Amino acid sequence: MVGRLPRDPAPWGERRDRALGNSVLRGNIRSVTRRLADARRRAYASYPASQVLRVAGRDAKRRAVARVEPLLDELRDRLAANGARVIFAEGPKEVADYVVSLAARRGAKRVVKSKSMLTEELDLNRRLAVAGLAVRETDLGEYIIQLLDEHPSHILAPAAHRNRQEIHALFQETAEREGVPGPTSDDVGPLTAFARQRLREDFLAADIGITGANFLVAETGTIVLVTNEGNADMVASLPPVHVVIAGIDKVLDTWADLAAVIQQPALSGVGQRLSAYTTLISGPRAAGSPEGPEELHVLLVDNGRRQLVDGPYADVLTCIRCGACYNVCPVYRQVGGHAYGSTYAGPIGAVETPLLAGLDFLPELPKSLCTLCNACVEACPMDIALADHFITLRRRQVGEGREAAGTRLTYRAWGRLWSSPRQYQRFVSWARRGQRFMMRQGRLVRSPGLWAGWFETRDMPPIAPETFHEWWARRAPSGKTPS
Amino acid sequence: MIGPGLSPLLQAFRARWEALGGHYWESVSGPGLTETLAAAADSLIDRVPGQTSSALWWPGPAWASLAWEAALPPDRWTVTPVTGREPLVLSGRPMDPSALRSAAASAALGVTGAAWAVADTGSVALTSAPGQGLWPSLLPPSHLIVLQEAQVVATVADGLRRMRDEGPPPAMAKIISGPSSTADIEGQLWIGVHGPGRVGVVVVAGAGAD
Repeated sequence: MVGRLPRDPAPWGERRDRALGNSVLRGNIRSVTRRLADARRRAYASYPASQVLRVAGRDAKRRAVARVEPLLDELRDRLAANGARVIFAEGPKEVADYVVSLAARRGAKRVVKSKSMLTEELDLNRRLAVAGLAVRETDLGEYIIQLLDEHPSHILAPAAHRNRQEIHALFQETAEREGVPGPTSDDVGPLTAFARQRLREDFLAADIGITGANFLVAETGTIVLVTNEGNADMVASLPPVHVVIAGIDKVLDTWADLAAVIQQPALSGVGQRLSAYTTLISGPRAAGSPEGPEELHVLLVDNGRRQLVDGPYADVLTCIRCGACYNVCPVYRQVGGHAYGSTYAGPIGAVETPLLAGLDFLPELPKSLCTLCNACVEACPMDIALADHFITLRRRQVGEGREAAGTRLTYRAWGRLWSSPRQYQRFVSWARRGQRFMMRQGRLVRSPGLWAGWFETRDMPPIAPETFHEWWARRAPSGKTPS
Repeated sequence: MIGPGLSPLLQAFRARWEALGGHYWESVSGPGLTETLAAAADSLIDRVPGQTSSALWWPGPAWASLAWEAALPPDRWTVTPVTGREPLVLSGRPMDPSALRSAAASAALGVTGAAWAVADTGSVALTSAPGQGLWPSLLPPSHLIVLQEAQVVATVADGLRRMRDEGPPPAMAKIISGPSSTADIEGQLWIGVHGPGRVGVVVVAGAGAD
């Protein structure tokens, strides 16, 4: 079953140029990615257990993906025994329909949410708003972009593309609209205090709380939530109904497997040994307790995941959404998340999006948003073979005739020309003769014909007066060329 | 303060807890403990001159008999205790859930026990159980935890194993590692966004009341 993901209607070229022309976005993305990548490196270097833990966590995730169906059955039975209702949902419509009818049954109007990439993927907020529900995002960054009617630009820092002044103006405007005092300045403290105050009221008034899940433990029927702000704890323990919406890829086999992987989101994501709040939920409110929801609903969502379980891309399902690959990716660091055009960005997004939604969905992602530099592979705590997947996806795109005919013929002709040493050398000597018309300050800056586009944003060193091949031929008396 | 004889595990816990921004005290049980708790409570809140501050004290079974409130100056503090199991008792009356929620939401300080703590990560775990709730650790701007030295384990895995050995996991448990924080605005770290901005532990040395 192919998944359905939201997409930016703008074509790739427009999304790219919009991102490259936005200096606030580029400056902020540059600093947030550098900060997070450095924090991760420092945390790993200063933590003797880091590598052993990482490998144990990776193996736990791989084992779970390999046995996902029996584990999901076990999880469902265990959660049901703990008093939760468990629903298998195919995609966006089924999930939204379930929440809307639950809200109707409960007479619920107000929904609070903690950060969830899956509900972004399902475009859930829009669907719930259409049904008349008031949905409030409560992660600070998500709150900001919800007020702006935007999407996250970074998986861990959704509002990374906005600066303090913009956020201050936004909060001022919100305060005026809602008739409350605005933030006292554009410093982070007053801005955060304003959000805390506004959102606290929403937490206490909400009828339904929606969270995602970082992990689901089949053995015990436990939902694990990881945050630094504490908002997921509010969402899960204040409203009378808690709805968990999680991908089927979140399941783990045992409690011991949870112990192996529980530190990874924080360690690889932000360079902490554990997040400020790691919350384990195993059922609705216990008898006699005033806390926690009366009803706990757990939706286990496919949306294109099941089709990957038995194939060569199964390791993509072990992703824990830590964002480590985003932070080291030279493409992501230039363009940020919006240019990718759907929910997931960075290397994992460029690979996973077409895998979930079909190879015709945003085909530019594997093709144009990767330099094959391998930085993501080194950063990924789950050892997902991202670079290999980029190559296979490109090969499939070409093999299935998804390339334009002109491009295909050009590459074929070029390949033929350069695959014979003699023809390559002849090409080089022509180019050397012609290049003096294409130079500026000792660099090649222009080219005729097919290569012109390459020089629009780059230059390169000129072809040397004597190439290594020529030098070798001149000094080796036999005249043999090196092989 | 206890000084010598501190276990290496506790020393490691303290170092990491403080590195995360947590406050730390030690005491032996007895009169010293109530005084330490009162001093810790005082230092974790911002006092408004001329006003009393409210604390929600939901100790759980292990510390139910610890009458530390007496050590707080009554002109500066009002303490709302939650005791009992089923039913819970809030300030001497059978608990009404919405009254408890309001008390938690308006308290300046929540005071709770703990389930276990982790030296490796500087974390403290709390569990919901009959007679033990989590709101005091979440809703007030400050949170104070009473922890027994014997509850400190080496790793997160050790703590989770300990929890699992006690039976099926509770409806809710949480592992707290420092104050509530965010870096969502320009990547600047800010403390105290939704949960408490100040967290403290008072470690009770030696054998516990467990």
